[in-house]
Amino acid sequence: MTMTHGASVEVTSPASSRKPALAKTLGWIGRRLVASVVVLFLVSVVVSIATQLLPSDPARIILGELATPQMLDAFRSAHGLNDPYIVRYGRWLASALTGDFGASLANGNPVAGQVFPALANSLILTVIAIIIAVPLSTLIGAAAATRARRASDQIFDYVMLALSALPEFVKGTLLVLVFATAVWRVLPAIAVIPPGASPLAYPRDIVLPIAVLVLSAVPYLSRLIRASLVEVLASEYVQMARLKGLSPSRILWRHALPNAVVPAIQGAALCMALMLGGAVVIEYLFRYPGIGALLTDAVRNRDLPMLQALIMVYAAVYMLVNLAAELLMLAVSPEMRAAGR
Amino acid sequence: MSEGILVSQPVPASGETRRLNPVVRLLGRTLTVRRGQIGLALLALAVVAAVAGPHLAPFGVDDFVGAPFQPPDGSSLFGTDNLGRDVFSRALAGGGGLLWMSAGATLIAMVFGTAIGLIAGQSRGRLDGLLMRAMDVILAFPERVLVLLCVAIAGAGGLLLMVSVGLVFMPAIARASRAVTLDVAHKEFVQYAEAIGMPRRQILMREILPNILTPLMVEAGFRLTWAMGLIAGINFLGFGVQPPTADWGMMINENRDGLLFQPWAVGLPIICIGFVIFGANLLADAVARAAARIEG
Repeated sequence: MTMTHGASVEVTSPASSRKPALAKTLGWIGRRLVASVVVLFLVSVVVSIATQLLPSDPARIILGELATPQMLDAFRSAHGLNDPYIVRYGRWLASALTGDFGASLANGNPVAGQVFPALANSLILTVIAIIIAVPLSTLIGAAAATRARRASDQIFDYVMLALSALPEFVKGTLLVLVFATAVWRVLPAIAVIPPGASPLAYPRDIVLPIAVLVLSAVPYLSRLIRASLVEVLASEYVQMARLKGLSPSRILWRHALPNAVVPAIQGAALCMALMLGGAVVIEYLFRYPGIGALLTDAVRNRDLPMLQALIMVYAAVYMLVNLAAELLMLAVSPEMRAAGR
Repeated sequence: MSEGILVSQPVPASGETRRLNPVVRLLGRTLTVRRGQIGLALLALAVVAAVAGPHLAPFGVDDFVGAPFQPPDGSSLFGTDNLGRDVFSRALAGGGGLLWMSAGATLIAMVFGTAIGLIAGQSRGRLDGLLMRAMDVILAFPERVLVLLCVAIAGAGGLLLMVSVGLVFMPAIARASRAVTLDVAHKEFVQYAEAIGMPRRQILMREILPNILTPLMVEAGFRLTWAMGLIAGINFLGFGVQPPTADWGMMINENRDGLLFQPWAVGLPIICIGFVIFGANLLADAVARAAARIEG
């Protein structure tokens, strides 16, 4: 990841690169999508092999401790659990491709019916957090960059280092300590959102989870913006604008910032990918009904079909977000295309 | 001494005549930076507390010293936890595991990641493609999700957690070391070594590795910080070390129910984790700055 955008020069001549540029980009996207599908397939193979190693017996879990060996055998042959591994994997893949991931071992309900609403809930959290974090980071980064190397910039640096170092569950517990229990009691300590309801209908319950995500994204994004803004402010065209007598605020907002935000665009998309991982702990902490909470439950219950589906969904979403990050980068600076490979 | 007569060694690209061990030089520079000093001091304090703490603690980690969730009083400095154990004694004992587990995970990631990156970068060709696709599969998930998958397969436990965090961090190191290896592999001194028929293993260890150590140390610093956060988080979820072990992450989870009456049972481990990880991050940042100064 380089921050010296803008400094690089298009090497190819404009005449030769103009026409096939779109075709090239589409070809690149196509290749990336194919590569992603291949990796997803490999992931599904690895995960299904890995889950074979799980020391859990679905028949025993579903039928309970009192089941006789005959009952277990009957269940296994009825559900094809005695078939060779390849056959079982093929069956799983075929139904997974139609969106059917089997039934949860923990509650017997279809996995897909639980995973996708939970995924939507998690995306609500992360998208709101990004919408808040990007402008906030821009403001903070700009404030720090214009004071570069002064005491307040130093303080900014230390605060951001501390915030980025603290794990999500520590930030979350601190917020609960301050806003929900020991100091003030202005917000709920856990999100009580009934199954099937939209989290957006419970704004008070999602304030703290979103705040933790924002606090995790802001250090990363604001340092990114600060670094690139410091560079832009030292560039020749900004010097020129100064010599022309433009006001400092006009230079900052109209001339410098639009260029400095470029790396933050990709940063924001990468942040969303990071948040998907961070949300696992945050959702557990606030008992928020998202995909991360499902994952912790599935690990705790060794709920095999659920685990398999969740891992695939995580991998797919993670890849899409990373792909989107690269596409955004491509969109804002075409010369990155060569460097990005 | 015989070492005085140098067999003419290829000079590295930086043009230095005397080769100082790059790791020593980097760490020396790091400690001239203020934040490097603070970071190291915080980490050293944590190590001292982890080693000496259990001997200084007024009570044992498993001793019941009062009623559950008792606020601080004369007998226990920070009150008691959810089972009536002394919070201060448990906090003193609760960091050692985190420290050695994150150090171990970072070491695993660095050793295997660097080896894979070196081999891939120097061989190029089919082996390179194979190794990097394998890394892509690991990189296809958020790190925490992959660690949880390992936990689901192999069961909860501290040692396992360390190994899985190491494995999960490995691909990023492999990618980074492959990239710098590719950079270095074009340089004259490597081509020279190839030309005089030096065995590949020797080229890797003697010519390439010393020249990529600086960027690798930067990577190691940040990985150590992230390993701490990741491991503490998994312990918080209850999938790492198991009760009745004292561990900061687990203490925070165990004592959350008592936040209203005994915030210290959660607050003290939070303060401990906060300072240790902040220290690691400061140190990592200082290493990165020192490296930038050496390279630039």
